[in-house]
Amino acid sequence: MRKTLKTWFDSGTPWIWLNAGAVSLSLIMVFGLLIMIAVRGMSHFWPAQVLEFDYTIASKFSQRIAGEINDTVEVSLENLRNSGIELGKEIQQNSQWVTRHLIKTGNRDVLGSDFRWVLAPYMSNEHFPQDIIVLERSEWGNLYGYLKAIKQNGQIVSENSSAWTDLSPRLDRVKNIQEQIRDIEKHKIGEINYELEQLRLKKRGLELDKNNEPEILSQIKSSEDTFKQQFGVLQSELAKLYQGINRDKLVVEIMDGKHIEIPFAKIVRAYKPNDMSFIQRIGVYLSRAWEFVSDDPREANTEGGIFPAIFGTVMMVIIMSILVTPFGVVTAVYMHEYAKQGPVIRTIRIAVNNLAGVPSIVYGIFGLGFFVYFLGGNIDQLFFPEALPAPTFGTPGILWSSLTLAILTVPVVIVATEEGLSRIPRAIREGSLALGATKAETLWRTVLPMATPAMMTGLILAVARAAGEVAPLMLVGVVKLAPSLPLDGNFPFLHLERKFMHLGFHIYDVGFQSPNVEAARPLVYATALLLVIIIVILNLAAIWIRNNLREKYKAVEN
Amino acid sequence: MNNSNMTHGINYKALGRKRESLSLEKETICIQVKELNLYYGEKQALTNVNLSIPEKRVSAFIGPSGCGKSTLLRCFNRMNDLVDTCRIDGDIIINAQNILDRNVDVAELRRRVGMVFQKPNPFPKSVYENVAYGLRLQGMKNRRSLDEIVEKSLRSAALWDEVKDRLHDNALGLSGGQQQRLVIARAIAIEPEILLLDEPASALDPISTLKIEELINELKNQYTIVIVTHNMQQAARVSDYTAFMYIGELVEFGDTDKIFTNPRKKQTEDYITGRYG
Amino acid sequence: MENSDNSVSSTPSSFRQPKQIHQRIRKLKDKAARYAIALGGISVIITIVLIFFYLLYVVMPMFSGARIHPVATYSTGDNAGKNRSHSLYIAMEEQAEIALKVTDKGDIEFFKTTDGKLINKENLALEGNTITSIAASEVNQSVLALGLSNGHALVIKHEYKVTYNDDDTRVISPFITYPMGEQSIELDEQQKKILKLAIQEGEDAIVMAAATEDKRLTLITFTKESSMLADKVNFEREQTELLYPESNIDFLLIDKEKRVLYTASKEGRVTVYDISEPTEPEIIESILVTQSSETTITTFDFLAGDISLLIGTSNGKISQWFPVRDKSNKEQLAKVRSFQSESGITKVSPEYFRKGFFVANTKGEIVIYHTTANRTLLTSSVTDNKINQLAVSPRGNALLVQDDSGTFHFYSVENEHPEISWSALWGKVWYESYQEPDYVWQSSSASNDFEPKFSLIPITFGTIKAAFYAMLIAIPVSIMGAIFTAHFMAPRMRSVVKPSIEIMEALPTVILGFLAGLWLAPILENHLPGIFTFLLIAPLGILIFAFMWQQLPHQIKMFIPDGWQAALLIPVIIALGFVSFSVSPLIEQFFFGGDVRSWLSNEMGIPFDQRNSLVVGLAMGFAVIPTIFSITEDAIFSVPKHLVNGSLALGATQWQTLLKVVLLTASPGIFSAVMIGFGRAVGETMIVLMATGNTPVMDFSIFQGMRTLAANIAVEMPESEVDSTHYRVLFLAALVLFVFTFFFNTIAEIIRQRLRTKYSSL
Repeated sequence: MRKTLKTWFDSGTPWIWLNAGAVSLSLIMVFGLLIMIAVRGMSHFWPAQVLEFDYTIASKFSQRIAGEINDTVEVSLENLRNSGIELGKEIQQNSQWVTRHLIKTGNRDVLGSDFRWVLAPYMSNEHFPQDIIVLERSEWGNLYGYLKAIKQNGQIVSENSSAWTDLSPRLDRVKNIQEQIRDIEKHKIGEINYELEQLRLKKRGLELDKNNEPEILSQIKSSEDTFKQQFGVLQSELAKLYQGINRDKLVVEIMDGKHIEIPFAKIVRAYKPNDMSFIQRIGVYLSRAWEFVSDDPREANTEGGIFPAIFGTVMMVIIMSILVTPFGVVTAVYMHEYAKQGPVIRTIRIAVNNLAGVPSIVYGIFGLGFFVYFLGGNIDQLFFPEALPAPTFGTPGILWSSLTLAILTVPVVIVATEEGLSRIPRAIREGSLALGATKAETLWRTVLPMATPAMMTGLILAVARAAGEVAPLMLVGVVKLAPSLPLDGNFPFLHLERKFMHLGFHIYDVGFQSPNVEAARPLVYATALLLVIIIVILNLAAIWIRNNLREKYKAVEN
Repeated sequence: MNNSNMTHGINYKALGRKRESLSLEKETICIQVKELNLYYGEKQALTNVNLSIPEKRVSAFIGPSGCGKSTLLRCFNRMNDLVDTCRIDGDIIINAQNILDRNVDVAELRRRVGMVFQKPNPFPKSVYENVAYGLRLQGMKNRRSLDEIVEKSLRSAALWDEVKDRLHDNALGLSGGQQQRLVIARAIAIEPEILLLDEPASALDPISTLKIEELINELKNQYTIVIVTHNMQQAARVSDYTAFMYIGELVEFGDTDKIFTNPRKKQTEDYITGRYG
Repeated sequence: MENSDNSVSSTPSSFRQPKQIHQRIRKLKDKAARYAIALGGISVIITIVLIFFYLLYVVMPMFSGARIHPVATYSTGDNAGKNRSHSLYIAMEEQAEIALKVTDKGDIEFFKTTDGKLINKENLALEGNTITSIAASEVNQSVLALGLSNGHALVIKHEYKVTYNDDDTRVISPFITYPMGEQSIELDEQQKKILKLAIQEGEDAIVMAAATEDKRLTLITFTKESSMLADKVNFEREQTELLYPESNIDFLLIDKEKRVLYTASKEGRVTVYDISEPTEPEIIESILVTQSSETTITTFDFLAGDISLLIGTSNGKISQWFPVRDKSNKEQLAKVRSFQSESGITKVSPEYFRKGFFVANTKGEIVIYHTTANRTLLTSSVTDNKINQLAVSPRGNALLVQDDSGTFHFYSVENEHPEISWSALWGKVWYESYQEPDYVWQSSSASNDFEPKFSLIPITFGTIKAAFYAMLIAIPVSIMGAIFTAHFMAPRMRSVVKPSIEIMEALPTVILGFLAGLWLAPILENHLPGIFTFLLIAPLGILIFAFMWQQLPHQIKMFIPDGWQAALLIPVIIALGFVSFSVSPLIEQFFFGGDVRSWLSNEMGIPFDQRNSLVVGLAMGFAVIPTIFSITEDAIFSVPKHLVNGSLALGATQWQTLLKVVLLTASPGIFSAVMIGFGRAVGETMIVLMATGNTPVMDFSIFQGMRTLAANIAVEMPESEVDSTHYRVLFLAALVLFVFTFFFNTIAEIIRQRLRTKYSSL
């Protein structure tokens, strides 16, 4: 039986379909977004093929270009003409559209930028040359070109094809030396600097106390001298290593035929993108992905790894959890088990609920004013007068960030724990009390163990929120580039006053404040992917625990 | 429960119970309630209750729902303390002490006045841990004596044979009747003097109910038992003395036989004959 | 039975005092736990309350007025007898430790402000002439010019050298320099008495104007010509005779840019000269600034920055005037605001770096005003006599007054935040150089005497605008989606959909902001017609598809049971989206001449920003959808089933039941969902920060950006100086956000709790 349009509309079915459409749209948005981030984030590490072609603009000016195709769009000729681009006869004037590619040409040191737009009709002689190489460098981004020779101490030792086989052992050697340099610079010299700074502060502290005991002063002096001596030894060691590292150089021919020399020390990775098996590609992929999560950033954060950001985020979240869990749970227990249930506690409950909806930036400004300037300033006056006027705690840092986020997320823990507590049947509590248990025993032995999953849910949600929060951190402790991690080998190991890097802020900073946004964008997608993965996993865990929890209580209630 | 089809008088002989003649005057008094008034906020829930509950007997509280029998029962181990708005006047004397006194150690009181609730409420722990719970609170750590008392309690609660092979399974896996007996075992493990049973069989099937009733009969040799029930047959079956309550007042208290066969008050007779309920 | 041997109760013991240690410890632990938990709980609650009070605590000082405290009262020099000298000018240096007094005898005395002790005294070489007029340059230059009776002038500069002793104490030594030489220079060739004088010193020139007793007004420019070899500076002199105004010249001023010269007569006639071309000066306008003929002008000064004039009168009125461009682009003096003091104004002293000023009157009162805030900060009587001289320290923290008897009164001033008032924050304010009163947020600038503009209106407006567009997108999608999910969706699909959308809520907003700014904004810019096409064809396409689906034979429909429509529509919507974006360039070509943006700005006059409200609306809508969705879904889902069944049993269709019963019952829940969503949109920071240009414009156009309260804090807080007015205003912005969201959330929460009790009673 066929329905007519009118009766169909009267039945309300179309509206149901429209509502269904809203759900579909939401789902498309969620999954579309996740998939897009995943694809863009993961493809960042894939070694793309490098295309070489001749580019002749309006039959006048020809040049050779090589690079990876990053983006392809159709633009109208009108737009091109409006923006003052000369159109040659290669472009069919009767058509409205023309294809445009965004080519990652690399060689920023020579060309001035990493990317350029090219018009497809001007391209000719496109091919993927087998022996083109990609050099990932620690400065100036990627280099695309042909390997011509390797020089040792200025003398050519191998040329053309033999150079390629010679390259990898020499690169390994340089990597090895770099490892040693890094060890000396970062750990040994860092340690000495730290000790010297401690001595300086100690001296200043004595000065402030008007304590001029010559014995202590000479002690300080002698340890200073020892450290300086050690420093000298390390310096000469370093000098030697640097000499070794600068021994080898590469000669590469780039697209305009020029030969340029690149020291091995500047090379992070070298590969032939068009002459690789699938397995080799995966190898490069994994090595780049590993570099991403385990290494320090390079080139104003636009390349290299994000390890300090991961570390900072995790560290901050851990400190926050340590702060927020006991306080959140205790407050929930107080409100649910101890406080007299009257209008006062009802008001407080509403207030706590609502705090979860107060904008995070408000917490940030509170943290800055109260924690950093007020608390931190006073702590400095009391405990670190020797370092003044340079602030120790009176400046944004990881402790204040964690505290601020703890206050921001404490409502989440309170609400979740209270919900868990209220799900525990009264009979359980009465049963325990009737056996002669005190209130504290009842709580500790029956109620809290039963509420643990709820607390876990609360904590996980709090962590997920804290991990993704950026706005307040911008005020209370996050920086774009932290000189040292908040955890290291120098006493007291955990440096709560230090500033730190954060994944979310990294996204904001690299995506918006970086000078080379186009080049940094793939890295931002990868960072975003990492953050999304962490948060989605945390949330799924919370949802899973919550669902399991419900099952469990059903058993208790029946 | 609908009592309308019950007839006047219950034939105890038919229930297969041998009874001796009882008299309140001869009993040792275990719990003495004097001029008890209880309020929930503005509302008065108990009015002028005077009552003496004999030692090592089963006393039953009956009455229509909302008459205050559970409330009265919960006064004996001060379970009403948990209700913020609750206020009590009067005395309840156990062992020559007014347990409503402020400086009574409630935890100690509750240890000695055990309670079993309407619905079985085992903790989500193992059977063993449920029974050992109260003992551990008392500071008992010796594994051997714990084992002993757990077994003894479970035997007393007639549950040992059913659970001895799964002592370390979660107690929530037991059936409702078993759970209720487990709860009783849990209560008697800490050797209370008095056992309060708040409608202990109302959530159970008839067979489990029977088992519980049998258990009560067993236990009355050792404990003073007070049971609240709205099932009059059950009261008649298990109790030695019965109190009938109506809208917060104690109407009548006396030998169960007399209450059921020859009540002194009109209200009691009306209730027992099913005029209201 | 009574003799039963295992009776426990036969040993009566007390309930009161637990004997065993173990029992005591238990009791102790219980008590300790009780107190610890109460302490912990209450302290967290207090912390939460503290947020509000701390914000308030930081904000409050802005609204307290100024205070002055007397420090010292003294006399200096020979101020007794007939021969006593009169002060022509007083001033203080940066630290307010040393003051300067110029007397009519040509003495320059430096003395300590705290006790009047003379530090340094210099006598000027007047060569028998008398001082007939005095002029000061813009305060920071510390240049004074003294007009003499012989048509000459003497230019001096008071300077201070700061040194430190061994024990770190500061020593300030004052001294006098002569920028144009120690000898007086001839201003008037006819050697007539100089009655009024004005001076400004700049890097390249010194400009002076002199009015002589024979009613001539001369403008003299000394251009500096410093030779590389010698330290000595030579001046090239250029002199122009100005047209004498139609009234007397009682006051004469040159602004520090040396572009405008003002003359004023006591009767209130102000004449304005354009002297930006010193050789061709011209009169711009001449107006009367007093209303009645009885009042006379008593003071005529610049406000800091030399843009506004402060004109004080004998009846205690003081008004601010500055040139305003009219429609024909001509500048005209306009009266901007005026203040009223108790009695005639005797002296006005502007602050050095702020738009506030101090006023002294004939009753011996000091009044502190601020122009931008339109606010009287303090009225305080400091002496019984008329006040003759008044000086404010450069930092605005000290005040030196000399009364008619020659006595000095030195006061410390507390005046931290004069520039804030209710009207400055929330009202239209006529700022200097603006054509009309306006709402402006502009918190900082490179210039020192910049007038900060702290109107919260543009950013509050931006906040509401952003939230509005976000809600415009979020409300329909989320509520419709929630209705379907709660009421129609198959349970199995629901168990997937709900968590998915909840995860959407947890997505960090920094990622949404990043995608909105760097991915969505360019796409929208290039496919603008596409997005509007999609809005149009998406509902239509869904309806057409639904109708076609209805016509399908049962065998096919069976594969997808009711409640799975949403899954069915996913490919449909993707296809519709694809279609709209592929026709977008065609539409652009066809209707908008190939480029929507230029069409919008050229044909429609609508400016187009790449990062605009549409981008924010979409991104923030995306962030708000899950919030509204999950609360609405809960509200609808927990409508008691028997209500639904009752309605269905009466023969209503599913849709009718939904409209008449379910939505009606759940409407408070939906309302509170919208409120909470709105609260979230209002406070969202990162999305707005990244997806807009953060310009504080007041324009409701969907193609322009905005700046919100939250983003404003994030942008400006790191640069703001602790405890400055700017800092406190940002705290005020946070307080506004806090109160606003808290208010909305509380309403929503109360509604939700009521609804819950209603459900449980149904």
